[in-house]
Order: sequence, then structure tokens, then C-alpha cells
Amino acid sequence: MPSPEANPLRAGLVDERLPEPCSIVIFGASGDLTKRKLIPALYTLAVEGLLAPSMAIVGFARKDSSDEAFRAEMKEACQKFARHRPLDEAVWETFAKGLFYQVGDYDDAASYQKLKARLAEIDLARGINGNRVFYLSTPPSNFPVTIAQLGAAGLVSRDGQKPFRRVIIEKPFGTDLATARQLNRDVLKVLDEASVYRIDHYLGKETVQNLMVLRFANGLFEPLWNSRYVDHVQITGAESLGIEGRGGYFEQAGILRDMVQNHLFQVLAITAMEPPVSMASDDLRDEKVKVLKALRPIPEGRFDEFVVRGQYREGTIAGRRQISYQDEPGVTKGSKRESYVAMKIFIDNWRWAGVPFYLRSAKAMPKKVTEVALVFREAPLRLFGERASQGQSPNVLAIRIQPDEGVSLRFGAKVPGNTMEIQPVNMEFRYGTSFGSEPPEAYERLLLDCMLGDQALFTRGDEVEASWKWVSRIHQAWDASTGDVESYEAGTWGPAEGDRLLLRDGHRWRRP
Amino acid sequence: MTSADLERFTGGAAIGVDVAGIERDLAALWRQAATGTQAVTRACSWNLVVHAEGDAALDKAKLLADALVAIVPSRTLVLHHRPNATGPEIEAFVTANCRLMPGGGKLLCSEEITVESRGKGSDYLPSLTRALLVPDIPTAVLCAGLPRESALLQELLAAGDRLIIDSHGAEQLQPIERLGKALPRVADLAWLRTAPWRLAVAAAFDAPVDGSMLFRLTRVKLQCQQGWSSEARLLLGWLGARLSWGTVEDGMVQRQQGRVRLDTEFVEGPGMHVEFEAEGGGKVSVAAMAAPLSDEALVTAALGPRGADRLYQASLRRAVELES
Ligand SMILES: NC(=O)c1ccc[n+]([C@@H]2O[C@H](COP(=O)([O-])OP(=O)(O)OC[C@H]3O[C@@H](n4cnc5c(N)ncnc54)[C@H](OP(=O)(O)O)[C@@H]3O)[C@@H](O)[C@H]2O)c1
Repeated sequence: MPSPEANPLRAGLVDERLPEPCSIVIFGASGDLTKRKLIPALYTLAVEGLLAPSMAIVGFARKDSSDEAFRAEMKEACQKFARHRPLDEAVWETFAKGLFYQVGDYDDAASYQKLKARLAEIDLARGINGNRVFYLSTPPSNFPVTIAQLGAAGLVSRDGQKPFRRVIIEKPFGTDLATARQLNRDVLKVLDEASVYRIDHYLGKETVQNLMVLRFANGLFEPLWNSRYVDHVQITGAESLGIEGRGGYFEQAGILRDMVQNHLFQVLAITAMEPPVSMASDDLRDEKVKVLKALRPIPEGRFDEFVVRGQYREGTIAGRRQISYQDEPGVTKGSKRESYVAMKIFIDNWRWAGVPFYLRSAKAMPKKVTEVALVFREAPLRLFGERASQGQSPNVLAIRIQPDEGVSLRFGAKVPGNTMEIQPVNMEFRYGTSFGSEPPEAYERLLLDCMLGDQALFTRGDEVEASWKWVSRIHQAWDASTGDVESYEAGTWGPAEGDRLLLRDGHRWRRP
Repeated sequence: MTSADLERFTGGAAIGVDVAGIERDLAALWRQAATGTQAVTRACSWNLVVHAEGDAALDKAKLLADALVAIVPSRTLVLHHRPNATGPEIEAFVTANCRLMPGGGKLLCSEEITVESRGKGSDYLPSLTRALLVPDIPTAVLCAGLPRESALLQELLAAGDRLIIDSHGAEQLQPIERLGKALPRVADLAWLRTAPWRLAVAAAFDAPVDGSMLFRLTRVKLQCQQGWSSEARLLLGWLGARLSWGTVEDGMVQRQQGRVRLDTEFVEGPGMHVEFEAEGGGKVSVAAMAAPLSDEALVTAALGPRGADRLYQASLRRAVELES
């Protein structure tokens, strides 16, 4: 962010979040993500006046194309996917002038030299002073070679100096601890950590950020946010679709890699972390990493007591037929790849000692929902007699991350009448009813933050490694196990074994 | 209240109610609405008082209020005074602003109370306002243009957390200064309209451009859309406040160790263009953003941090000085 001392007009601007002009190079620009998310997000930022008008966006891919064709294709994409529709022609005109396309091969040094020359040309024409963001939006197998080539071509460096050179890396960041470590080493060979932006788009979601606001901007919740008052925590990330023809990918990944290691662990870390010293990126990430390092390793040989994996069979989801996982295209017959995982985690630190955190994530569930629920300890005494107490249940604070973002608090209330009967009721807050304005898309926020040099909502190398370290042991145990994966009917809340994981502790899953 | 009334109410029609029992009648309407077949959620996160004198001002303010309520669910209190009209001194109507919540099913409704006063009826408005504000949520007062001095205005200024005005097209900015102590709570839509301009101008002096050239300016030439004189003055006022400009004489502004020539020109077509010239031949020119925000977006922004912009007061003061 430019300093107000050097530029007196910057001082006191309420909308100070205007990034310096830069070029964004997207590797893999012929792909789906560019069309669906990246360009529409950048266009929306332009509509909202948050992009410097001289910005440039250069799409890089092997597919043969031209500036003109790329612009036309991206216009169509924005018409379909941008948050502000229909397109504002005047904004589009200006925006499109900054869109360019460069054909090249990811492992060909000459392609990077051509890119370098092209960027220099664009800098000159548009008055950009060399600031660059490189967005790696290819399949992950291409990340190492692209990063190495960027370094070799002198397009990025480890000096962290101005003009800035930043690299955004899409998910997944590695497939286990070893590959994540290797990728970190590859990246840090040519870049310093301050220039690396590892995407976890969950962090760009408003409600995940609101989890921090709920905890740290209110006096009410934080005093209760510990093992003294919280009985257990449930985190659910459920999808109502199957794997949607992505068998090839999913067979390699599974739900544990696809959802838990990254997204749900980020939600877990934000739910459980200590208040950071400040919201500066490293202060925040220090606290998250402490949680991930405090996760109690599952004792060797006892994985089945802590983790349940499942795979959907045929069923119906909300009135729609769903074929079984085994019949999905690209799935190897007899595959044990999990589409459901539930686990019990303990965080061995002062705040959470003894409090189980139950996480579950799955495909083909009855509905799409992500939420965190804190279930509180019960009142110490049942004061209202046997009959009344039947309706008494623990207080629950549920934070809904998607959809219908909001917060609800369950407590007991007296049923009107002459007898003493208690019934749980919900006090609900919904974003949609308090703020009519639409929240920005995660990618809008994350791209803007990267241009502004704010890494708070991106994961740091040690965070990624800490979560892989914990998760990779589960993969190793599964690989070594002869046990079967539990089967569950598509459109249900998962296998009975997943329910038993909680029942053994006297708990049950919420039905979100 | 009949069931036909109820349907009209959630359908957005105005239902006449007894002035002394507005809250009671509203509560009864909501109770009945909740027992109907369609689930209704009543939402309110701001009190929005719309203050208008005369029909034209009312229409404009209502348009803005409707746009605002669609985004920020509020209890809207429309105070409409018609000094010369005949009829009952005071009358009240209630309506519901409803929209289907995302995902369908539930109706999300917020309520609107219109109080019409005639002749001396305006005397009742301050106490009615006091009684009708929902507790524990902030209050915004919305005027379509610049507010006129009155006892009611004083009452509203005391109660309001935000006063939304629009100096667009005003001949002078000086009357705003009269709001005195309320100024820090004033959100002027004309000022908000200049936000993208200010950002663009500020960005033009980021490194590698030498920002200190701003203290050696010799000329500022501003070209701006016809009719946007308040916005132009506020932009210059902002420059003056940031760069410690002094008095004006013959179109020249005093600055430290020198003078700046100010030229403003109004042209056809949207946007703004400003050219800066400094001693030693330095030149910077800035064109405005292509997409100025709509009034609806502005009025919503006025309830957020942009509506409590500390730069506004200083910029307004400088703009008024430049006016004279
Ligand atoms: N799509 C999403 O919603 C989503 C969500 C989260 C994360 N991601 C991540 O974002 C990145 C991009 O996603 P995407 O859906 O745009 O990917 P994609 O369509 O599969 O690939 C993007 C582009 O990468 C190039 N590419 C380079 N090497 C390739 C290879 N070995 N196989 C196939 N294509 C290759 C292709 O362009 P050329 O052949 O023209 O060079 C392709 O158009 C991936 O890392 C993905 O994991 C995507």
C-alpha cells in the first residue's frame, strides 16, 4: 500500500483499498477456473472501482488464441458468471483493453522470455511500473516447472523488493506431507514467503471471516469459548452432489484431501485459535499454525476409533437419483476411495484440553451445508422436574458458513401454559435479512488482497505442512489397512459407523 | 383489520391507522401476517427517517429509501409535511416492503410508516418520531436534497446517527456548514460520488511519481460533467484541505511559497478529467472512473464507513472558502 507520507492525497481515504497498477499473468488461462471465477472476479472489482484503470491481465496457455479471441471469450464468461450482470459496457470496454493473451509452453524457457518481453511492452504502453502477480491456475503437476521457469527467466526473485512480484498458487498444495514439503522447497528456491499466496478459497468467504468477527469483536462469546463451557464442537462440510463425473481426479484425492486437509482444517483453526496480537497476516497465521501443531496425533493402530471413511451407494438426493460411487465414470471397480470422512480430533492446548472436535465432510449428502456448531455443557442442575427436563437440551451456537449464512443460538424456553414444560427454541440471525447487499465472491476478495500485499487470508507454508503432517498419517493407515470403507446410501447423512463415532461419547451429530 | 387489509399490507399497500396507536396496529398486522399461509420474516437493522417537504422532494427521497430498504432492512418513517394543504392536521399509514428471500418460501418484510402533516400538524412530528424509533438500532435521516431549518430538523439531528443529504446541483455548499455539530454525522451523496475520482487522483501520485510535486503545483484544470458543480467543488476542496491551500484571489489559490491557478470547466458527457501542472514542468493528468455509482449504491454506502468520512468536513470547509 502506498504510504501517505510519500503521497499526501492517500491520507485518510476511506476507500484506501485501491491497489497499485500491476499486471496479472494467469497460467492455464484456457481453463475453467479462469472463465468461471478469475476473470469475472477481476471484472467485478473493476465495476466497483477497485482496480487501477491501467491494470493489465495476461492469459498464458498452450492453446492457440489471440488477444481479440481471448477478450471475446472472457466477455462471454463475464456475461455468464460475473456478480454484476448484465455487463456494464463502458466498464467492459476499459477492462477489455487491459486483457491480453500469450501462447506458450509451461516448460519452455523461450516462452518465458517472450512473456517477459510482452510484459515489458505492456508496462510501457499502460504505465505500469513492473508490479506483477503470477497466478498458477494449471493442474498442480505443472506448478513446480512453472515456478522454476519463472525464477530462471528472472520474472520473480527472492529479494522481496519493489516493484512487487507475487505468485498465487491454486489448490491443491501437495497431496501429502512429502509432496507439500517438496513444493514448498521448490517455491522458496525462487521466491520469499512474503511473495507466496497459497489459495484456500474458504478463507475468502465472508462467513469464515465473520467467524473471527463473531469471536473477537464481541464481548459475549469469547469468555465461553473454552473447555469450561464447551462440551464439544461439530464441523460439517457437506455436498449434496456426487463426484459429478470427476472420477479421475477424485480417485486420486478423496474427500479428506479435497475438503478436510485444507478447507475444514482452516475453519477448525479459526474456530479454535487464540486471539491474535493483531490482524496482520503473520500474527493471524501464527495463531492458526499453533492450533494445527496442537492437534493430538491419533495413536498408532487406533485409527478406526477416531476416523470413519465411507463411500456412497445408489440413492436419491432431494428427489434426484444418484448413481453409486462405484458406477461413476473414471472410478476403478472396487475402489476404496472415501467420499465420506468423519473424525474425532483433540486439541492439546490449555483452552481445549479434553474437548472433542468432530469433523465430517462428504459427497452425496441430503443437502449442501457448511457449519460450525459449539455444543455447550448442560446446566449443572435439572431444576424444573423430570417432565420439564425432557425438553431441556444443551445450548448450541451454530455458525452457518454456507448457504443461508448466519448464526443461531439454541436455548430452552418455557412452553406457554399452566405446566412447566421446556422446549428448545432458536434465536436466528441471517445475513440475508440484516444486510441485503450481496457479499463479494471469495476470489474477488483474495485477488484484491494479493494485489494489496495482504497475506492474511492465504495459507503459509508451515500451516500447509502442519495440516498435511496430521492428515497424511490417516492416508498411510488406510493404505496399510485391509479394512473396508463403510457404505452409505446417497442422500443420507452418512454411514452408521459415523454416527457411532459420536454415540460412543454420548453425543450425536446435528442435522444441519 | 380485515383479511383483505392484511393482504394489501404485505402486498405493499398503505393502510390507514390511528395515529395514537401506530405501534399497536402494526404489531397486530404482523401477528396476523405470521399466521397466514406464507412465512413472513420481519427484519430491521436501521431506523430510516425520510424527511421531505413538498411532493417532488418526497418522491425523490422515497425512491432512495425504497432502494435502501431493499438492501438494508429498516423501519422507514416517512415524515411528509405539506404546509399549505388542507385536511386533517395529521394522518398515518402503514405499509410493508416485502421481498422473497433467496431460496424462495419466506417473505422478508420491513415496515414503513408514513405520517402526513398539514398546517400546524408539523408540531406533532418531533414527539411522534421519538415514539416511533425502534430502540437499540441506529437511526439515519434521509433528505433528498439539502435539509431546511426547522424544529423537526433539530429533533432529527439530535436523534440521528447519520444524516444523508445530497448537495448535487445545489447552488452553494455553504448551507451545509450550518448543520454545525451534526456535521461529523453528515453523509453527502455528492461527496460519495467523488470517491472514485479521489481514488484515481490519489493513485496518480503514487510512486514512482513524485508526490511532493503536489506542493509545487502551478495549475489545476478540472473538467467535469455539466451539473456536477457540487462534486467539482468538493473535489477541489479535498485537494485544498490535503495540500493546505490558503485564500483565493482572481482564480488563484495561495499555497506555501506560491500560487495555483484553478480552472474549472463543465462539459457534456460523463466523468471528469483533471490536469495538474507543477513548477519545473511536471504534468500529471487523471481521467475519472468509467462507472460512477448509482444513487441506490451511494445511499447504501452512506450507511457504512464511507458515510462517516472524516475528510468530508475539512474538504467541505475548503470548498466553501473556494466558493467565496
Ligand atoms: N475449477 C474450479 O472450480 C477449481 C476450484 C478449486 C481449485 N481449482 C484449481 O485451480 C486450477 C485450475 O483449475 P481449472 O479447472 O481451470 O483447471 P483445468 O481446466 O484442468 O486446467 C487449466 C489449464 O491448464 C492447462 N494445463 C497445463 N497442463 C495441463 C495438464 N497436464 N492437463 C490439463 N491441462 C493442463 C490447460 O491449458 P493449455 O493446455 O491451453 O495450456 C488448461 O486449460 C487447478 O489447479 C485446480 O486444482 C479449480
